[in-house]
Amino acid sequence: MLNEKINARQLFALIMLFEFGTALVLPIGFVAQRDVWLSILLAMVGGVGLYWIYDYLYRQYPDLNLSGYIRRILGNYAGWPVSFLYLGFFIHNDSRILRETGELLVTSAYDMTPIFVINACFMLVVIFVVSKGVEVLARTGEIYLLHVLILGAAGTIMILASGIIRIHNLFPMLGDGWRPVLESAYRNILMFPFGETISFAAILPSLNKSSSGRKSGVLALLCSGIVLSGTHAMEVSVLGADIYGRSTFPLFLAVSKVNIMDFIQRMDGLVILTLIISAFFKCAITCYAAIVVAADLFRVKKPEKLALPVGIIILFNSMMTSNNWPEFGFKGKEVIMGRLLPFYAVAVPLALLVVHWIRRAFGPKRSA
Amino acid sequence: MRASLAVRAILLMALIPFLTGCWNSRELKSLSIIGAIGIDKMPDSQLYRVSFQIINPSTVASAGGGTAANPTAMPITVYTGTGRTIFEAIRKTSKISPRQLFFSHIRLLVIGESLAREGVSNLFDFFERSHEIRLTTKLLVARGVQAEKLLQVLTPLEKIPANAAYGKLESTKKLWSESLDVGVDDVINTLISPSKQLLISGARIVGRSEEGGKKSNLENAKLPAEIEIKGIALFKDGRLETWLDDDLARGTLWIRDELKTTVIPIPCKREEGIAAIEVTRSSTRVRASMEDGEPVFRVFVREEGNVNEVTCAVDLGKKEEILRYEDEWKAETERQIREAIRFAQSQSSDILGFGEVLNRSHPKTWKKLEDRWSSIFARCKTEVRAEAYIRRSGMRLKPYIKE
Repeated sequence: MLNEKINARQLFALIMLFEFGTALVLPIGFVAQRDVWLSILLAMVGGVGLYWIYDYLYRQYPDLNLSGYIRRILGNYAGWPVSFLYLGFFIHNDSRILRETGELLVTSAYDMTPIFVINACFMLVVIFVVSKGVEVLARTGEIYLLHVLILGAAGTIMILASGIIRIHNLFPMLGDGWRPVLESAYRNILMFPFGETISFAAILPSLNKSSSGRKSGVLALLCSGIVLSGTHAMEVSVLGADIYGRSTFPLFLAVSKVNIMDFIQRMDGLVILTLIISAFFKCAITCYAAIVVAADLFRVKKPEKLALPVGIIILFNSMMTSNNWPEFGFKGKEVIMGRLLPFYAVAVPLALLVVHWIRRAFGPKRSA
Repeated sequence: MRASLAVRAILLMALIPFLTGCWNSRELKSLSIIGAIGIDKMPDSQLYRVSFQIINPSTVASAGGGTAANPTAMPITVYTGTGRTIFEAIRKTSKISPRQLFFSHIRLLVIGESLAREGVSNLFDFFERSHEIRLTTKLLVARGVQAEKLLQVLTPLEKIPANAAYGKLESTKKLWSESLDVGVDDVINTLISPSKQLLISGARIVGRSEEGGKKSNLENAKLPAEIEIKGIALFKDGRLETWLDDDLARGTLWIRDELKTTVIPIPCKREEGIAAIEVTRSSTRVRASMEDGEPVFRVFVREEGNVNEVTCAVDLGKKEEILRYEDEWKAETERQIREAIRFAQSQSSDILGFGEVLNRSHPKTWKKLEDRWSSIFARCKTEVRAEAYIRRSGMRLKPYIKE
């Protein structure tokens, strides 16, 4: 269906950037706080499991994307509405990614800029890259992953060098037992950012070798999980669990504390840059997932043509999604992580898997 | 379809306006850069009185040749606003400030002693919430004086008094170790911690404080009014209780492992005279253990140093002499630490971080003791042990002083 091809390395880069997204900078500790790094590692295991499901489904139907195989598995009458729900979900989720990024930028640096202007500028670039197709997106991702890693390494070295890490902030480990750690891991972090990889169900069909998806995807999830875990451990150890949990933008705070010899300081620009780059890819990938599903549902030959209309819907939806940041955060925790992601990222794929197995076991032999 | 060169050039030009940066551009010349903020409480009211030490750029910035453009002008000016909240006071100050106040370069946050005694627990929200203020801002308590007065004192050498006070704090912390630098985030982490009490270094005006804000202050070789970093304010539940000075301050920092280098005088054996030992390295470990259901804390200090001055006849080439000094020095260290512990216990105020140590090593026990920690702290058992090593004695072994 799609002529454009991406290779395993590019997929790796895209997944890494996607996982960093806004998860790198937001306080995703929830109830675990001090032990957030442990929760991330635990959630990562589940995240790999979820990805395994997405990849398995893709392998059964290597030339179909998400909505394609939903309709193949559930049949057209049941499959079409389910795919349509996914379209809504991707659009909504992308609006949230966009809004989140805009809010963080306004809070931390652009205090008087209307958020709509920031979001519009951001979305304009996203629409542009998505309309160029997945291959362009993937190649850009390859280059920018390097940028993000260099920025991250620079930030880490500076934090280490300025001696602001207080390792005892991470102790006592498991002070409240395993419960909060597991709760954060499996109620929150498994969904955000790991469950959101469902967007890649739309990217996987563009792989040049269908066998490479599992290896590089799992590797990317492991790498990003470890980086996320390390970063959040660093944030907690610099700021203390309490400030970490209460702040909107802990990584920004942690890096702004860097002061080496009164000379290397005010490095928070690095964090803003990282945020913009990784959020851009998260936004673009989810947007791409949305247009691929839309194109499949409405029989549009070239999905890229839908970039502009879908992008504009995302932009306006991002403005309407919440009235203020606390409401946004609450919805994110209760609705997105509590209901939507468990449904779209876990329940439906699992159901698809089960239906697929049942059909293969009992159904008539299809000739592929 | 290829656009012509002209069209492409115009499109490129159209992109230029997007490169200019933020929405609300504030030019450098429309900003007042603040070096330090002082906060006092208006007497008999709920109003804060917030003072801003604003840097006069023309006295500091060099105009090409390396000298300041306007070296004779006042390097700073102090504006003051009042309000029920800090932010309100800041914005109200616009009535007297010709430029908008700009907070990104604040080095110091000075709290007046009377406000500190009333309580500072709710003071810091703005400093945490604002994105302009960095967490690296350091705190001081103006000792026996209003913060507003302290901000007015002009200083030589460092033209900007905020930088001068900051420099004093940093250097005395490093060389004398009776002060500590506390950032906004440290304060907040301490205020919310059930185990730890707050400490903030003090600064006072030595001399005639009313002279400090006058230009004439700088026209004397010996300043009529000077800022001195002095002592540590001990807070209990956010209220200033008392001041730690001299050995108490040093002992406290010793336990918290914040001692960098300092000087310990050790009396000579036979005659009048003193050996000054420079502590060059010191590290402290505090261990908590449970004995008969009661927490016991063991403080262990390991320090290294040099003999830097001797005012009696003693042959430092002899091993016994060195050992004797090491013993005395060890005893002195233990004494200072014990006194600091005793004082903290008498205030039932855990400024030493013992609660945190217990929480890290015995989290379950800590959960049980958390609520009545200050009373448990006041009577918990402690053991202090020091190890001290003199490494060398400068460029001489024997002093020139003869018996």
